[in-house]
Amino acid sequence: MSKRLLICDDSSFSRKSIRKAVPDGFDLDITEAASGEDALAACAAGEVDLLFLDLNMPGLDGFDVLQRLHDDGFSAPIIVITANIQSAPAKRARDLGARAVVQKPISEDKLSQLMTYLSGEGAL
Amino acid sequence: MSVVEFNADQIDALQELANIGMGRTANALSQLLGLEVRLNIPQVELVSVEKLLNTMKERMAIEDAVATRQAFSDGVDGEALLIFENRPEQGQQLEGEPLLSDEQMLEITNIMVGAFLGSLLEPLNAELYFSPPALVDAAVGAPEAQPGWEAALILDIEMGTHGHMDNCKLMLVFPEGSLQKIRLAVDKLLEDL
Repeated sequence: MSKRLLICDDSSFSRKSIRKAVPDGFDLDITEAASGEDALAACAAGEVDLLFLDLNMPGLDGFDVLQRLHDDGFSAPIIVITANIQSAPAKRARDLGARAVVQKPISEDKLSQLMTYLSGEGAL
Repeated sequence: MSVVEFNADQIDALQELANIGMGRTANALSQLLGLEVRLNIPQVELVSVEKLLNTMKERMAIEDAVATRQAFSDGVDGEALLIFENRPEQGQQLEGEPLLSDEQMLEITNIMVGAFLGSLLEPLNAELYFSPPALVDAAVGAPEAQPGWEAALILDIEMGTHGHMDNCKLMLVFPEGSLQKIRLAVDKLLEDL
């Protein structure tokens, strides 16, 4: 059965870039959200098995989304894909439940490593 | 008006490239200052050279505003102009020395211009050459338009640290032909998606 991957980023260019970097070999049904609000709605509806999340977004930003998902007990893995690669925000994101924080632009190799790791854990 | 226009997808791509460049700059700056740098969402606007110079004159009239400039050439020619405005956050007093020294502003100029143009021009395999960044003499104010300057990109960027919000506006002016190369580079990026 396909796993449902949600890519949340306010930039259409970024969403497409991430989608392109998703490696073959994983049975994924990929959808996109252009805002934190839309991502939260999809997660609340039980439509997400894996979330790729940007941090720097208008409205609800990535930290807001992480905080709310954390409060709601959301258990699917979250990978933050961001241009903000400073150590403090990366730590804050991990403290809020992100399994990994990776730098934009994401490469297929990096994403493959992460997803293989998650798959090995049984999370995918 | 510029003879080159960018559609919504092209502007979106430029904003994302600015976002990536800004993230790299913030990381370098946070290591320089030992502080976390907060980031806004960059906005990109294509404007006439006249509007850019008017914007720069307005910004330069603000007390404590400091401007830097850096030329680039070869793959794409042009000049980058940055304006830094130091101001206290709401409820905070700006005391003591400015947050950024002249040397740090020049370093930020170097990093930001290199990161943004590097990301943007990667698909063209263009090798850019950069002049050393320099401070714009506040007494002189905004530079005069140079022959051949055709159009400009303005990137509105804010980077904040403890007690301060430094507004840093990055402006790029291009001579005839270079903006078409920029659009070509963006189109290549979009085609590759």
